[in-house]
Amino acid sequence: MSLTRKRSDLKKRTKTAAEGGGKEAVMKQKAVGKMTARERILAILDPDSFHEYDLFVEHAGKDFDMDKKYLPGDGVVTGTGTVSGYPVCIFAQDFTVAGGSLGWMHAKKITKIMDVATKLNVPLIGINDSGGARIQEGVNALAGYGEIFYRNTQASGVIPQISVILGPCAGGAVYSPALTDFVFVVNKISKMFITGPEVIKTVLGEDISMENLGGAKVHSEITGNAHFYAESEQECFEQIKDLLSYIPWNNTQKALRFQSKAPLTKQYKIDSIFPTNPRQPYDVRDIIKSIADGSTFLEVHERFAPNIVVGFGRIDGNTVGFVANQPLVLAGVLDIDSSDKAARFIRFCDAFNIPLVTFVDLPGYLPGVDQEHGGVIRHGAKVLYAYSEATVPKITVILRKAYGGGYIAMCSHHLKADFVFAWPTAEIAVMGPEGAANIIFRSEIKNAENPEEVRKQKIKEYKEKFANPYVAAAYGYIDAVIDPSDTRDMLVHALSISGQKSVHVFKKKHGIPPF
Amino acid sequence: MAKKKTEEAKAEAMPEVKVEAKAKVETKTRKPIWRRNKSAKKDNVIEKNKEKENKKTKNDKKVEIPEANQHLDNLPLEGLTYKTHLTEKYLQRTKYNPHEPGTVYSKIPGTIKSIAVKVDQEVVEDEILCILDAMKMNNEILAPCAGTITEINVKPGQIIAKDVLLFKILVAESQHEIDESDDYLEDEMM
Repeated sequence: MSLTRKRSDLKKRTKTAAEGGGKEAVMKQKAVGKMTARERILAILDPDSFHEYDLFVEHAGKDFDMDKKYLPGDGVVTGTGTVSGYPVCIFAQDFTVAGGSLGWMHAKKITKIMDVATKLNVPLIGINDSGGARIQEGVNALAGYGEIFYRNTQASGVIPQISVILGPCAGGAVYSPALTDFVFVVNKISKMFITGPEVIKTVLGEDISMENLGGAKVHSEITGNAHFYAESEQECFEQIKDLLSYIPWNNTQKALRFQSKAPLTKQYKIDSIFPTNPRQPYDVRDIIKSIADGSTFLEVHERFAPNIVVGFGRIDGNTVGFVANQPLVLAGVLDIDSSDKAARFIRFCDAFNIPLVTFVDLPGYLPGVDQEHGGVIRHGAKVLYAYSEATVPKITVILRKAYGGGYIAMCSHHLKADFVFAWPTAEIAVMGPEGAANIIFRSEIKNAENPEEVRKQKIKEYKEKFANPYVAAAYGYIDAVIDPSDTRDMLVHALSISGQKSVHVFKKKHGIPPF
Repeated sequence: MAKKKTEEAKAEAMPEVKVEAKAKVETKTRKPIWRRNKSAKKDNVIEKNKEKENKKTKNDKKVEIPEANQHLDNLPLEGLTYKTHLTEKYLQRTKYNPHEPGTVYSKIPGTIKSIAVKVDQEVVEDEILCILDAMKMNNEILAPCAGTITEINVKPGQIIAKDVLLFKILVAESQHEIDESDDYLEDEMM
């Protein structure tokens, strides 16, 4: 055969394999508003940057007449490319080929590209759109999942791992995304659950739709399994690109530095955003925006546990991770969900050399039997663990309330924050003035002729004496009480001098966080 | 970027008046305010600033409550009531509902295979009450205490959910626990 004929043979083979499940299956995929696997990859990556591998891989099923079937690429597309110049490894399950079901060779293609990602130290993006294990391949399908989970765990904290759920992701398949750093979902397209509606119906006789059981809204609002929620696939891809710009390629590097940009101080003016009355709410994201470069802030877990706000921004061109209590929702308390959310974000930042900036304004922990029985002790401990363990620069600004256990947990000096600043409006105390006065002066109030008046008097006394930052500052627990308008300058300086920070860590295999 | 655009488009498509009217009718299904005000804020920044300026000139001393914070809920914590928003998940939290002594609830959904006791029958602690077929296992449901069966709420073959009352047992007298009070704790603490 001449080279020309070989060439045309290659072209023919490539064309057949790249067609996926064929026109009819592609039409079906489009009919439900979904893009095909290749379209998705091309939409995320820079133009002409995608290079596909393992296109000619064939499935390994032998039983149930599977050996007579041809599944192009075995239902998954893998390769490398760039996102805004960033190198990434990527795979996308192809629902048009046998429902994107996972067989042994399908898994092998995924694990191969995962191995490439960890070897080259570049981020991994996985697009999930699969009916689940390929039942015909039996235990080999299960083995495939196991191999993927193992690599997800090994790569955790080494390279950023991003999972995009663009279709069903059920049963064991859900645990690969759960092991990765960020999960993206799209309304009406993403579906994740361990046991589907059918199983629930046969076991319980309960009717529930896929959407209500494990749709995008459920996972971004109730379970917290998803970090980013989008209305369309295109919007989701923009979010991925945005996120990648904030994070480094791997754990040995820092995120790319951008041009420093002043915040939009006219739109986000601290004086008009911030009420000094500790009972009055405000949107703490406006405070973050009044300080971050260009007032841009990429919120993670926007819909889950909104009583704490976490996300990425830049200060003086460098990425920082913001953690802030949100007085606008549930008064900004720490509870099971918000502790979980914050702790996970802190650990991501620590693993990938992203400094942490914490804004504190919380009345304490949420009371309630559901909280106590739900294990708020062990979940709340995650925040303490994550902050204490983090060795990246940690800077804390106390805006208003910092009472009791909440004060300690929110990256106080005692958990080895590098700098703790307080606004003059800060109230750092063992508890709120009302509660404290009621306990300390209990007998005096009880025995007084006019208890109500004495109570008020004592609360006032306590407030004047303790509801300020100066008592804590007198012990050196606050490094500086600052004018709110100086906050950005203080942060810029503190971050710039913390670049070489080093911390002695005891030699150990790993800690035992309160999982 | 695209997200911002769609949110803006959404906010435009849904005038605020409409949202508020809806909120009054069905408070539970309204869009949470911490998301709503985000989109509203972005396209109304200029307008809002103007409004604020107007407000300031009218009444300088009065504390301003931003527009977005007007429908606020109360959250009492340590003797203080905070103005804030409550999340759907918080509002739907399960209330504490302790089981009475002598009641047997299902801890796993499944099918009742057979029932081993009858009403008025005396049982001892850990005696098998029924077999619950769940998760491919025949689970033995045992009596939590000695006593007399007063109620059987299930039949063989019945499919049951989690937390369903299966049996009621009149607890034998010797089984009553001493009522432990933790009042002393409060005295100790102070």
